[in-house]
Amino acid sequence: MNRKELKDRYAIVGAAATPTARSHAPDKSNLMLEAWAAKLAIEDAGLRRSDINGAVHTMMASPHPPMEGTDTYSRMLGLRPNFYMTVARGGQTAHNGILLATQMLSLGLADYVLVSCAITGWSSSHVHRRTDGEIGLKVWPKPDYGLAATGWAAAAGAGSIHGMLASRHMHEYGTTHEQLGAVAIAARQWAALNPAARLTDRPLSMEQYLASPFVTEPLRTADCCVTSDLGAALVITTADRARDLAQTAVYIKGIGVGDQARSQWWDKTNYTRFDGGHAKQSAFREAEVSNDDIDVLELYDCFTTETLIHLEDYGFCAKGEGGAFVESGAIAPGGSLPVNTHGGQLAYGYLFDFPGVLEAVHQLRGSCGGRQVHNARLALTNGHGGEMLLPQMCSSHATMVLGSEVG
Amino acid sequence: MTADTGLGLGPWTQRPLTDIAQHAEPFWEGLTRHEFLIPRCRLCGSWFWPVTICPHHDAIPDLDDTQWAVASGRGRVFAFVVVHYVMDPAFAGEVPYVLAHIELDEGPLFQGRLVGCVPSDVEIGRAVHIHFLDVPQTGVTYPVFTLAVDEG
Repeated sequence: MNRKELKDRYAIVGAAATPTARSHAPDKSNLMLEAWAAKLAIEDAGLRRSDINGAVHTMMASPHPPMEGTDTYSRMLGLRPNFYMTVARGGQTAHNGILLATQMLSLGLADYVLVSCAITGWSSSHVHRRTDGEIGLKVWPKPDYGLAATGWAAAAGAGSIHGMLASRHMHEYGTTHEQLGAVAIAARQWAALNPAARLTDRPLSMEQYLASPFVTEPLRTADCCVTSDLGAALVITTADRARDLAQTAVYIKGIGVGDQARSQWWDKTNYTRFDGGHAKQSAFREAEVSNDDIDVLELYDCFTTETLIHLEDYGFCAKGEGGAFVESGAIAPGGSLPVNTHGGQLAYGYLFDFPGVLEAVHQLRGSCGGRQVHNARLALTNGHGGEMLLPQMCSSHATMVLGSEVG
Repeated sequence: MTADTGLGLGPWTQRPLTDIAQHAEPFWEGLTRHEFLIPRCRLCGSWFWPVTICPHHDAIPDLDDTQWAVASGRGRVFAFVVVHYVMDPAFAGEVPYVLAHIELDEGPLFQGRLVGCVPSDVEIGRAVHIHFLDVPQTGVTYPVFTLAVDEG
C-alpha cells in the first residue's frame, strides 16, 4: 500500500479558544490571551506544561505584534520549548502553523507542538489607546506604493479591498445583495446554536440585512466578520502518541497550499476566484477523498463574498453559482452542506483561520451539542490570506482535511 | 485647514507622504512632474503594476530591464466600492466616496481614488482618466481619477 507522507501520521489532540468572543477582553494583551489559550489547549489534551517542547506562534502579518523578542507568550506561560517560531502570511495562520508543526514532529525535534494565535481586535478599536491588535491596513505601516493614503486605509478594516471581490462577482455573475445576505443569515443561524458565538443572540432576517448600513458598498455591516478579542491554540503530536491522550484524536488527512501569485495579480480572474482549487487538489490527493466524502466545511469567511468564492473554487457548486447555491439554504442548519457551523467569522468571531479549525476538531469529536453535524467523520477547513488587490497584499491559501478515524 | 483642491477633499491631503518603498519612489517623483509612470519591460514592452520583473521571457531579465515609463493615465473602471464608513476622521467629510480598480489602457490594474463624481454615476466599464492633485504645502502630487466626460 502506498504510504502517505502526511495522512494519519499526525493529530490534533488539544484545541481551545479563550471564552472571550462575547465578553471581549479589554484587560488582556495579545500575549496574555495567547498564553491563556495555550493553557486551555494543553489542559484539553490532558498534558502538562513540561510535555510541550515546541511552539509555533502564528499571525496574519509580521510584525503583528512584534514578537521576535524574548517576551513571548510561551515564556510568559513558563513553557520550555526546543523551538519557538513565527509563521505569518495572511489568514491561513493556523494551517501554516500546523504544517510547520508536522514537519518538526517528523524530524523528531519535538513531541508535542503548540500552534497558537491571539488578537485584541475588538479592544484595539473600541478601547482608548489600544492599538496592538487592530485589523486593517491603517495600523500596519510598512513601506509600499503609498496609494492607501488616498482613502483606502481610511475605510473600515479591509472592506475597501474585499468589496472589490463582491463588485466583480456581482458584475460577472449577477450575484445579488440577497444572495450575499443569505450567507450572513446562515452564519447567524449557526451562531444561534453556538452559545460561545459573539452574535449567538442576534438573529438576522433578510429585511434586517437589507436595511443594515453599507460599510464599503456593496458590503454591509452584516457582510463583515466581527472583531474579537480572542486567543486560540492547538496541540499537535504524532498519531502514536495521540492514541493515549484525553481527547479523541483528530487526524490530519491532508494539507494543500496555493497562492494567487502563481497566476500573478494581473490575471483579472483573481477577483472572483482564489487559489483554493489548487490547494484543494493537493490536500484531497493526500487525504484520498472527494467532495462527496466531506461531512462539514469550515471556510474562511472574513466577508460573505469569500464563502461564495470558496464554494465555487472547491467545486461544491459551479463558478458563478455560489449565490444561488447559498440562497437555496444549502449551507444553513438543515441544509445539504453544513458550512461554518460555529457561526463563522461573520458571527462567531474573527481570529484568522483558527475558529474554523477548532470547530472542525469539535465536530469530529462529536462535542458540538445542538449544532453537531450527525456522524461527522471528515471535515474540510481552509485559510485564506488576502487578495492581490493592493501591492502590499498577499494572496495565500491553504486547505486541510481532518478526520476522526484512521484510514 | 483644508486643501483648496476644488474637489472637496479633506485634511488628509496636507499630511506628509511617508513609508514609500524605495522601489516605488520613481512613481511619486514622476507625479510631481505630472507624469504617470508605471513599470514597463524594456525587452518586450509589457506594462505592469506594481514593479515586476517581466515573466514573459525564459531567461530572467535583469532588474534594470524593468523601467518606469509614462502611461496614458486613461482606463476603465474594473471594480469599485463606495466607502460609507471611515475610521480615519480626516476622510469623514468625503463619504460616500469611490475607490476603484482601474483597468489601464496599457493593461495593468491600478488602484485609484475617484474624485469629482457622485457614486451613483460610477459603474464598471466607465472611462476614467488621471487627475494630478498637487499639494503645494507638502510638495506631494497624488494620483486621483475622474470620470471621462466624453464616453466616445
